[in-house]
Amino acid sequence: MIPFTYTDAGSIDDATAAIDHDGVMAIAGGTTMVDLMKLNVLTPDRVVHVRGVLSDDVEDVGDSIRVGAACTMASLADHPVVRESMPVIRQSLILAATPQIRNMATIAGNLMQRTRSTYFRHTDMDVDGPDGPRDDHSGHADASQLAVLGNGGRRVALYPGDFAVPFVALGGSVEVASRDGGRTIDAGDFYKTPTESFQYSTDLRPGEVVTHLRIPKSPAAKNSFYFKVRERSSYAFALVSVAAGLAMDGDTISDAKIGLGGLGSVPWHSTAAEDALRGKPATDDVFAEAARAAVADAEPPPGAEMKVPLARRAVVRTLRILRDRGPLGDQELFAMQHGRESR
Amino acid sequence: MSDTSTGDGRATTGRRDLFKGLTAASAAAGWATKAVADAGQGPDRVAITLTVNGERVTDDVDPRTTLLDWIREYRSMTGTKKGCDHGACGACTVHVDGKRVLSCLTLLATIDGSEVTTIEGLNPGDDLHPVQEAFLRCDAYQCGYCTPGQIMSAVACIDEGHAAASQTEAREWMSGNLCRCSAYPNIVAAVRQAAGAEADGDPSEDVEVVR
Repeated sequence: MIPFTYTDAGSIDDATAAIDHDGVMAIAGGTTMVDLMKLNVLTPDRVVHVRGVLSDDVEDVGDSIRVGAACTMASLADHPVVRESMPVIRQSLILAATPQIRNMATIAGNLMQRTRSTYFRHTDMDVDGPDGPRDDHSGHADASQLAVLGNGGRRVALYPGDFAVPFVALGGSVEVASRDGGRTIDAGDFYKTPTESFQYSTDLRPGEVVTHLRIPKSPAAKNSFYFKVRERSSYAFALVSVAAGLAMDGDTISDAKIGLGGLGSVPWHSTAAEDALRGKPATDDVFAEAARAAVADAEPPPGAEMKVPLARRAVVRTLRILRDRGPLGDQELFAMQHGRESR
Repeated sequence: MSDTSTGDGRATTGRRDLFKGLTAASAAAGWATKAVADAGQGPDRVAITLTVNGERVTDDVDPRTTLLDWIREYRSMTGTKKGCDHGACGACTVHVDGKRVLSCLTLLATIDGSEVTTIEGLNPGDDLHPVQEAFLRCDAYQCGYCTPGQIMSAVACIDEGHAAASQTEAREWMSGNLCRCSAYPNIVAAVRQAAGAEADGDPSEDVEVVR
């Protein structure tokens, strides 16, 4: 780790005055920052601790919940209103990382996880020069970390997180403070697919600090489920994940929410899959059509082709579980994730 | 032969000049001079006060210091183990303000004012903590390197209420602690017994030996 100056922000104004997300970076839980600073992937001159000036509350504000940026993954997952009105959010959190990391990591930091690809983040790889990569060896990068959606036909890293997937699918938004006030950014606009770089960027500008997240309630959010496919039963990033919500009016799907993880360069909100579900009966054929629509624009790089059929099948399975069993409780969820129940 | 070379042809004054140059560069940059005075430490130091296993401790640390390195190298408590140093293995698990966290990914400066409990402080005195007893009874280790982290995680897992409902639940909520010896069945038994979900006993007695 290179030397840096450390300061504790005394106020939110201190934080916005100092932080530029480049030479001066914010730290809260530290689970990504410390890891990447040890690897010299991140080399800030100055680190500003913001945890003390950010809220860690979860407020039930009627039609939505408002989450303080410093709320931990564990606290958000355990909050009664999250358990009750948006199980997909709880499930995306408790199937991510480990209990220890979830006790440390803040929810705003979780939104901004960088690539886990050891190729793309390696400091010796010239992957992100002004004129693009000089020596592109990314054909040798681990294909499970490459985006198949939102990649512009290039080899770029995928967004690795879980929580952001239902966050974009449920229509969440990000409240930021800045030197001249603040603004609210829709989750869908917060993430920018890479056009030249090897990984996504965010709409967060120098001098802006995330203060709250807002997640709307809805009938589809209440009947929701997060299905995660990974290489081991627990503590692994998603090969593919599906955040789904279904609202029914009799036999007809009145509303649907579909997010995909482990696939996009950004957390992927599939409006195409939602359009294929809304107003239709909840049949296997309709689910299969939605699954096809979800990955219709996929451009898998060599080695990642398997993610396309895997994603289709995961979407269908997720929707069937929601239709036939409703949102799963923790015990059912773990039993399924650990392969200790029949299909 | 010039006067900058010895008889065997190696440059000598060249090397002396290099050292002189380094000294001048250090003097030019103020923080570098301070860094030399601080035995190679970074530009600033951070004052911290923590309660560690019940004892109030103040220190002045390089901002890069992790809780793990501080516990082991500066407090000389080596029960907490460094496995991967990147948050992948759980060997460094300790409790901060009653919650299990990874000490390798915790910058000491960020937890100023907190209460830290390590394996040494789990049950002060000569008696073992019930979870330590259970790990002994169940032979829940082989090499033992991951064990302090497993035990700190298990104590929290039981307190959180995540060990009793089923074996699968205990496995899921203990999944942040890897064991390369793969003593997992015995670890699960120890955690479940300590939680009161299974009767005390040596799980190996339940193994049926086929002759």
